[in-house]
Amino acid sequence: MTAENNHLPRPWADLRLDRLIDAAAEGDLPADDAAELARCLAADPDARRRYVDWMLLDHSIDEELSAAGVADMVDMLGGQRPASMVPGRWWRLAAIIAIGLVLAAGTLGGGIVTLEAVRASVGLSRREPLAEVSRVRLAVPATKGGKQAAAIRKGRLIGAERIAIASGAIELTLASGCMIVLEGPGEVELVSPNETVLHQGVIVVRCAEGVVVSVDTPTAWISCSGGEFAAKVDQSLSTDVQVYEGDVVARGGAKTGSGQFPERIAPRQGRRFSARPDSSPETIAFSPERFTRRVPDGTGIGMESELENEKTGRPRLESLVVARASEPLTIDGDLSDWKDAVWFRGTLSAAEWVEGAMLHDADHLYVAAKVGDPLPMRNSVDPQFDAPLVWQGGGLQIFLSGDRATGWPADANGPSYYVNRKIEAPFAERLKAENPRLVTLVMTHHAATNTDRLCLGRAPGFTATELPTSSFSGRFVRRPDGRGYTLEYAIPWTTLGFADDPPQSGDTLATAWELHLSDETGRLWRNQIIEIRNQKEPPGIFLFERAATWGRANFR
Amino acid sequence: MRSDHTTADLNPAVPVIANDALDAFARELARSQPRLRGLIRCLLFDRQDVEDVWQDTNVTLLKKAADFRPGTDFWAWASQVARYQVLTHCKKIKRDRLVLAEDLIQQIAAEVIDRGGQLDDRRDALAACLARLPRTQRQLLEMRYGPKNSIEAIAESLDRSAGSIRQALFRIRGTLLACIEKRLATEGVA
Repeated sequence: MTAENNHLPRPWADLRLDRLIDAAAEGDLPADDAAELARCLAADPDARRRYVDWMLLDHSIDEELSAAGVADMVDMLGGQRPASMVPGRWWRLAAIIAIGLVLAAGTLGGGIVTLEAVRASVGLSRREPLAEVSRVRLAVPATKGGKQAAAIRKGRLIGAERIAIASGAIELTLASGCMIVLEGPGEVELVSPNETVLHQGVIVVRCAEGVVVSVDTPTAWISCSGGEFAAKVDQSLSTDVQVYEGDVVARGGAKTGSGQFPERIAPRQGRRFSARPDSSPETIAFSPERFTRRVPDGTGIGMESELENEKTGRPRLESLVVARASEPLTIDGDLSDWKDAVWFRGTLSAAEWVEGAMLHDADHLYVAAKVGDPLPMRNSVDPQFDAPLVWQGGGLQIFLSGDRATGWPADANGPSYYVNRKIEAPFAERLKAENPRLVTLVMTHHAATNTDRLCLGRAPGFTATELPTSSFSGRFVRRPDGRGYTLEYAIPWTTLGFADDPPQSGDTLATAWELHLSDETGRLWRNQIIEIRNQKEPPGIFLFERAATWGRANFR
Repeated sequence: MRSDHTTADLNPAVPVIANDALDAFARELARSQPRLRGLIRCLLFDRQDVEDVWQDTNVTLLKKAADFRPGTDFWAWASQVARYQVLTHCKKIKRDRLVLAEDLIQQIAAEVIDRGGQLDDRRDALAACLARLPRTQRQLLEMRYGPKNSIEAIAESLDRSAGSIRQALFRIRGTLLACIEKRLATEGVA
């Protein structure tokens, strides 16, 4: 291995080398040992290969288990994962901006100036995005010509265009680094990274010191060089301006007299510019709570109790691959023909685990699971009578979105989400929850009749009802050792109501797996394994409460 | 209404590169991130140095985006930039921290760069091996790598000695490495 280790038995020398490398990877290598390691590496190509293997392992574990990857770093900044979350052709630019947000600035707090820096670095033309939607809260896009506009999602890149919301609020991060909060109903138009037109509604603008931004309204022009102000355009087109801090000047639309000249508006002051051409600005009272200045992050609300949080499991995986089945599958519980599948594993204990996979083709969703369960296939809840409770007796429950327009994460909160947290359900959220393409499937083996069953529930409540056996194929098979089972189901897209637009290769949709385990009676729920869950969502939210908790199903 | 005083002129004039080239560049840059960071990790002992150089490398690549020609070997170009950044960084820090000698950096970099796409295979294999790791071992790794706990902090929280934690992590890494090599050999990648 090395000159100095040549006299040693080979395994010992290998072990010594591994220890030196491991200490180097840990940053714990004393100078003498570092010199020894350097000599080993310089002299022996095998040692270099081993060193590279070990360091790459350390790097890969770090990538796998920490938030060190680029996408995660971007997430820390409140950005988006480039490939998975930013749809369409903009993902490439999002990748650059996302990387640039972290890398060009060098610090997490540098987001204010980094978009501009990245733009400068890569030479984006003025037709390219001017802003990114950085936060969204209960935002419903306004209708255009009687048609509902596309959903406004976090991470969406916006060019020189109008953006309008009917309710809720969004926060835009401009390429200049300024932030704009638009409160619905409202409409803004981005002109450049430093120029915005407020057509209607309320915006709050904040910029770092020295960054100049201007806002035009139908009746006023406002400019700020660092600071924060609000502007409101009401039905009469008059403009209220309120300054929180910083250096703000404004002028109205007066054509004559002193109203033509811009005036400075000091912090904690307000002005109203009316639509009358001969009017001078009026002083209005400053009201700090009048407008929405920050958009809260859109993640869900967990339960207060740790016990409740524990019930929602400790899932480790966020995504699974739904490969395309290259040949028809025989639904017999024998999974040897699942050659195209990409399996994942969730574990509760040595005896309680699930290995799962999904496949798809033009007509079907296929589901397979190998389950470790010391009390398998005892479900005594008859779905004919008690379908909503059938999960209690054990089986597999899958949540799935067929809503390509929403993509991932799915967006719907069931009634119980609000009930359990004792909060009001906004009307817009109730509308979103009525989404027939969000479903749950509960696959069970009814022990008394020795039949394999399927129940289907839909948003918003996901209350399951049993499906006739003619509408699917399913099979449970007990493991020879009696400590688990396999299940295999083929569920036509028609059964799910997705046949008009079934998921296709390339889609990223939402899904989550929940394996239910029962006691020996097959009636009382004893535990569960949840996997494929959105890691950004806090614990303490049940899958049936909030579709945003579901993980990603990457259809290939 | 529009102001007479536009602020558009505040934007710096920037070189414009073709959209196709920009697409290709962004795609390659995003795809190369794990490999780039892996390469830098192999050349520097200190994890914070790795983060710094990784960032510097990306900033340099972004600045040189206009130099990239679609169809050329992005990895070869990017890895050269990374290697140069490592050497520059080592010159800055060598008085304070242990660094590899320049010729050794070149040798090791060549080893990593030659592996190319194999690095992705190793990462995929690791994911499978991690999934098969006993829960307690996985938890220990998560404590070390997740919130970047020091070994001493982990030892204190588990009421064990730092040496025993080091030893346990060493064994887990050895197990994972053996698992990866076995998987790659089975799949005919290694």
